[in-house]
Amino acid sequence: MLYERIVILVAAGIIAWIAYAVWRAYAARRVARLAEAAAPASVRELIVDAAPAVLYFTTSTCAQCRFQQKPALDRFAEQARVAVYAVDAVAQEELARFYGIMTVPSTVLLNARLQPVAINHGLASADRLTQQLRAAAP
Amino acid sequence: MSTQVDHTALRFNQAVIIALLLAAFLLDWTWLVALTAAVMLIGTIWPAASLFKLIYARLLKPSGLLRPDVIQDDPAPHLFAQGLGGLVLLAATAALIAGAPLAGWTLAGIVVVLAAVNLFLRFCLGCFIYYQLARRGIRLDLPAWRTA
Repeated sequence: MLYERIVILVAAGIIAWIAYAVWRAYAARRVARLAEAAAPASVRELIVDAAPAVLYFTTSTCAQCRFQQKPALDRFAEQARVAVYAVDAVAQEELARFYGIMTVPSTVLLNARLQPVAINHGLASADRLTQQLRAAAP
Repeated sequence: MSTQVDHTALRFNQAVIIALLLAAFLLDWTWLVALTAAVMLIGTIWPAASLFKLIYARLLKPSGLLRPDVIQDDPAPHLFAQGLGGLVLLAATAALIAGAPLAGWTLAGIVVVLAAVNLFLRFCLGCFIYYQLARRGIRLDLPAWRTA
């Protein structure tokens, strides 16, 4: 009985790990596909400098955005000297759909050519964004 | 509503829930699922009586085993998520008692997976549901959450 249950748990763990790996691969492929597409007009109008930037998807009711994501982004913007543009995910639903935003806060790290290099669904720390920026550096 | 929330307490709470439910499954202990459900539901209705958070606050934090991670946050979504998990575990307990182990352990498994996703990937599905309801003008706050 115990042996069977251990086997079930191990199998469930392996399935969960595979599901996570598939999700990561899908997310990476999606970012790559978005990088090949032209940036939406609203993004081109919003970001005029040819430098990396962050699109920060938020809503007026998101407490985690205000108390956790915003301070982390402020730190990241100061450390990495990267501009952060807040986007209301409700008001700009089309833009949120374009980047596949599923929750707030979400952050889209763009390179100087406005191509997404990373999309973070949920809270992203300043360290994580810094690592993503470094990984995307030419 | 804005106040301080110790995220180490939240993470400890999630880790204990995962550990207890995995142990309950391995040992086929329905009572442990019921106990976890009761602790979660009592902790939702009366946050000050949350057993796992009390263990953290009275034992682990003072002894220095876990370091607090206090940040400005709204406790309501986290408590809502815990209450939702407690209700799912209550249904799991009922299914296990009624002789439907597949349904019971599947429901308990869902709670384990969601707690693990919250703990390791920092995505809280219960909080997400809370925000979606709030966006539609449905606020499910309990009076006790204002002082949590």
